[in-house]
Amino acid sequence: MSIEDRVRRVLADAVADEPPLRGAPLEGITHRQRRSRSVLAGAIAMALILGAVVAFAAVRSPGRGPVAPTPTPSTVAPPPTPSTARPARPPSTVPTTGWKTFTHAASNLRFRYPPDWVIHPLPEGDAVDLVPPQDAGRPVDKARFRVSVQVSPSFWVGEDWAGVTTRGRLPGGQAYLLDLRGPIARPGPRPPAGQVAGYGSYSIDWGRYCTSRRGQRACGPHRVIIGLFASTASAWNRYRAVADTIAQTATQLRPTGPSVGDQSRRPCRADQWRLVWPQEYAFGNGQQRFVLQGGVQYRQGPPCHLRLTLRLAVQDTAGRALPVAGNPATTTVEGDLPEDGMQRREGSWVIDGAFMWRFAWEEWCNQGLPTATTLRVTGDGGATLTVPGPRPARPGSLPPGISTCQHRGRPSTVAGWPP
Amino acid sequence: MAGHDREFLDFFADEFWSLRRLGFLLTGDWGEAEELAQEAMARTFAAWSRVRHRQPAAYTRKVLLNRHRSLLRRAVVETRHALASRPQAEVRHEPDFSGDDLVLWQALRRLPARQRAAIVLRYYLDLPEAEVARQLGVPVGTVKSLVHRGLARLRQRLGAEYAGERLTSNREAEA
Repeated sequence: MSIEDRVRRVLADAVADEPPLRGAPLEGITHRQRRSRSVLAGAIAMALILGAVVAFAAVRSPGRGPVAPTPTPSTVAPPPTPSTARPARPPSTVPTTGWKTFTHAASNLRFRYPPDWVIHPLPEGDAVDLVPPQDAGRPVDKARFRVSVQVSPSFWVGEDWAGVTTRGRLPGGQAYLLDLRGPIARPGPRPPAGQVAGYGSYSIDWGRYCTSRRGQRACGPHRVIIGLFASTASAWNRYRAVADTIAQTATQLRPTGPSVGDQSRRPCRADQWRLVWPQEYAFGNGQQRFVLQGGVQYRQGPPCHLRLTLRLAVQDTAGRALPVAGNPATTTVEGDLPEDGMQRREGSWVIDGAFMWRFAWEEWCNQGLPTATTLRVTGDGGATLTVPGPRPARPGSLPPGISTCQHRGRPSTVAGWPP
Repeated sequence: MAGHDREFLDFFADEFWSLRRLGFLLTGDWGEAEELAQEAMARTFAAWSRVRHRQPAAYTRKVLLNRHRSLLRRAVVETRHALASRPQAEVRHEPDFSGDDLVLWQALRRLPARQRAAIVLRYYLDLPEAEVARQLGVPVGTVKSLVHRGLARLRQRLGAEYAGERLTSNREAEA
């Protein structure tokens, strides 16, 4: 292979695993507002558009190659109902008699799909898109409805917290998280009929097994991500049940080890690990959900297995517990050390893995809560981490029409994530 | 929504992601790439009525390249301040390379900015040299030189595997 071809391939591969948008376009907008009023109009439009794109990106990511998003007429979603307020409901399904079977041995994946749907293998080789017969003649990224199926080497819990999230299990027993953001209507006047979009994603625990990609062998946790994308409400309503059924037919070709690692290993000692926080905040649910996430860093000693229960206390700066439902909250993470320990690359923490712990604080900016808060995470063996809480934006610091967290009269709650 | 705005929304949906990827290949940082792409889009939106019928994608790309170049210039002056004000322990997503691909990727990132930009435009976007020259605002001969010198550095980093090809390419360049 010539050096030119090799450069082409490396450049293409470098952007193949595109991360999701950071989801904080508003800060960029306010910076621009200070620099130049002339750019403000464009920037506000960007913020509105990015809101829609962020929602889209979160469904597509991670581990997905470059695929153009489906253009959507929607601008920004109104604040959806918090996940904790939406009861879990098993997805509705349709009969699968006569359906075709898609098998991908390298990904240990098989699923079924309607015989008249068109399947598009993507260049990455570990992802496919399916479109209904009505969209067969369109470019796949212009389809009115699309189901994407891909395998990712990341841990299955991931960061899908933008919408309404529920847990479930496939008929084969694999656990999944279903994050739904659709149908979504733009705010303001009632939109024309059909001018709403739907997004959703299944993140399925595919266990631990080994894969070989481009000659590189990788053994570790995997997940299957099944994304649902609709550009109109009618497409969403018409195909949603079919898409859910496709997801429900996903099965493994070979049994895999548990995604939480080797439970037969000796338990880790307290001096073998420490809690870490990557000094990064995350938000979801239209900024009404604050997510604190961190990891466990391997320090020393022989290979071991760790099941760790963590507790988050939301406090004021004097250490008093705040009146937040569920406070303190608990969550559990489990994995192997050193393999699953949180890694640093080029001085930055990599957000992924079985030991990523997460807490979600809904309606974190309610009236009556102090603006300065302290988040205290404690784990088994006395491990402790203290983190400053999120700060509401100053009044007037954002352009008119753009808001971050607002008091909505809904209860403030905190819980381990996923719900 | 006005027709022009809807037109721009479609343009945004089609181009934002590729613009962000271009930004990443230039900067090696997805956060900076997103900022660059967002700013280029904002400026394109401000000039939309003027550029919408005149290859808006090329215009936006050029805005991004210019913005990247001016940021680099400013970075030379403000390096100390930038290092001090950069968020600590920012999470970065890195390509999952190993072996020679990792060597090549790291070598690409270490190229001087103009050589890297020329190589990215030439081999990632597959633009002809004349278009690369227009985008970078330099003569075609300069593009040839930038690409040639950039590839030479990459060959050097990859070592013996490309020794024969280096000789061939040098002869071609001299001819």
